[in-house]
Amino acid sequence: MKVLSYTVLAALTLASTATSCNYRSIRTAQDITPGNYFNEKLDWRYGAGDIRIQTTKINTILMDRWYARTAYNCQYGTPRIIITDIDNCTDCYISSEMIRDIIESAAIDDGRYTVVVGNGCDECELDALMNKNLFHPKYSNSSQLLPGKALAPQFLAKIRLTKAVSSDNWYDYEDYRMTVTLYDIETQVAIDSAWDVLRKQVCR
Amino acid sequence: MTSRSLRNITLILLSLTTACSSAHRQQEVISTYQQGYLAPADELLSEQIAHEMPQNAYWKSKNAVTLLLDRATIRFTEGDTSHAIQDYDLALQALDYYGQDSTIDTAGQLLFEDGCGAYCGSNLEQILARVYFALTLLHQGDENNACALLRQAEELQQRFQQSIQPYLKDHFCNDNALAKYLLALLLEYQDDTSNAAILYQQVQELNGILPVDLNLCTEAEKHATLVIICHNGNVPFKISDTCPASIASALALEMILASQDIRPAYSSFTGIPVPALCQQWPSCPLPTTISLDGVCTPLSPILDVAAAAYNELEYKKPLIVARGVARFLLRRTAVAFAEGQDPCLGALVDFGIFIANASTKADTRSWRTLPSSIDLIRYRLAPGLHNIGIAVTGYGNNRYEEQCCIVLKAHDLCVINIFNIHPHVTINLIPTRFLKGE
Repeated sequence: MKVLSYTVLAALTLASTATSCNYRSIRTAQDITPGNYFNEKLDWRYGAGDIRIQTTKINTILMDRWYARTAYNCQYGTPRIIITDIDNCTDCYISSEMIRDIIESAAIDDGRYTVVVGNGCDECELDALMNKNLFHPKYSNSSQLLPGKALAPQFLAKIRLTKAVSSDNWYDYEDYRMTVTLYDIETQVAIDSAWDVLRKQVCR
Repeated sequence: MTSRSLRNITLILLSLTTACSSAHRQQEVISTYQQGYLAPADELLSEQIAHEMPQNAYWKSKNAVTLLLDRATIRFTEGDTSHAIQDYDLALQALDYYGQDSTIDTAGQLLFEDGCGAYCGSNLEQILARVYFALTLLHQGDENNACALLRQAEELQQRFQQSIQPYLKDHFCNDNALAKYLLALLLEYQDDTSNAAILYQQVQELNGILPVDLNLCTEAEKHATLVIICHNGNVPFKISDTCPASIASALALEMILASQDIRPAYSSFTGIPVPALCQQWPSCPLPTTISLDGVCTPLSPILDVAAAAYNELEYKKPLIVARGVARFLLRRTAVAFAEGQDPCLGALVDFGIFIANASTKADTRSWRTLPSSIDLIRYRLAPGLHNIGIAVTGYGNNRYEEQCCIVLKAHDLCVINIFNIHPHVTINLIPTRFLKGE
């Protein structure tokens, strides 16, 4: 009987240990984007930290290109980006207010442009904002600058977030692609577009 | 032993001692909620949350999932959508956190009872948490994020479906018609009609009452869409029952052991506790009719939450019973071991184990503020003013009626939620941006 009891105890202990052998912890992810050698620790959910990284990168690329192409001097006024649409095609809840705050703070840090975020949910509000912006004397200028006529231009911008997932036995590899497309406010023609992919390794 | 292990053991012992008071408090909250006193129910629950998980530290309470989901639903019913969103978001984080396996929890469940482990929500609850979160966002007009959450729910459904044993697939289905329908609706709203058509087709196969042709139509951008969702009744709650077969099996075991000259243990005859679902008559769904511009139509059930909860419990019962059997064997072995040392000690241990077995309960935690059934109707309307009448027929002469006017523009999506919490308590939630005069 004694042997039986020890056997049962040992078997049950082994079974319970084998079925679950880890403690709970708040999950984290690693930034394993190719070319990024720091492998920063991130929140497992796509959120503020990730958006900040991507927004800063993309907006810097877009502004660098635009300044290089137009040779604009920002002493005439800071260009303005009006974000009209944030298209979240991922499966993560991302608060619009959070995105707005992050984009605004990225613009403040950069200093070469300002940002206005329109509320795409309310069409009337967006129309009113657009009318106000379109006829604003300081910004009544196309983003295609004419030589010697440089007022501060303004752009329309759309942000799209997409997600792709692959996995192995231990990790999920999540690719978050952020695309920002700039449009000329007068002609509504796409001027430029930039994207960035953030690769996260999330423990399953 | 690490400090984390010590903390977990302390939590198990604490959860054992506080399980009773937690269940009692939850019952108090649910009674208050079902009487229609939403603000006091919210307050009671907030007090409990502040006590069990100060500063929203969900990792401190093993009941975090149910507490947060209950409060979020109460707040959503109240119309306090911004706080409901915070709670649903936190509840999803808690679901992810407690979805991870824990050795200490498993050992605690094996040695003590199922309820001393953390509650990580049933499959149905995990999907509905996302659906309700999406409905709250839709009420605020945030279709983009609502779509993201419904995408998550769809992915989760597919993952659950893959995890079901192939031979059980015909008997047990995790697919949630409501989640699929809402995702299809939002995809259609975003002009992704091909994916919407696939999902509508799946809903039709699951439900049989919402044909694809009715939903997808040409020139959708010229029309407005009105969806009325009725959260009808209360989901059955869990009680701790005893598996009758377990008593018979224990009897057979003791007879076999007696044939080997081993004295029977009286503690074996208490049986193995298993959860069972129970529903009171006032919690049943009530017939609800919508009149739109004078034309009356009854709502069609899209998701029978009670039946889905029952099916899932039946699917999970073998695992619960297996854990109960392992616990029983451990305890019976302890009695036999003590008996082998000294017959008096054996009798004493048998008595102690008898009390332990009799007081061991099944895990009865669940998301109690869910409805028993979710009914839905969809209209495609011309832009302009529309009169909506809501009529709920209660028991006896009790009847709830309300009229309202909404103004819709082309390509608008208006989702109205009706909560039939109890025969005398009906609350409707209409987004204020569509109300006439707003």
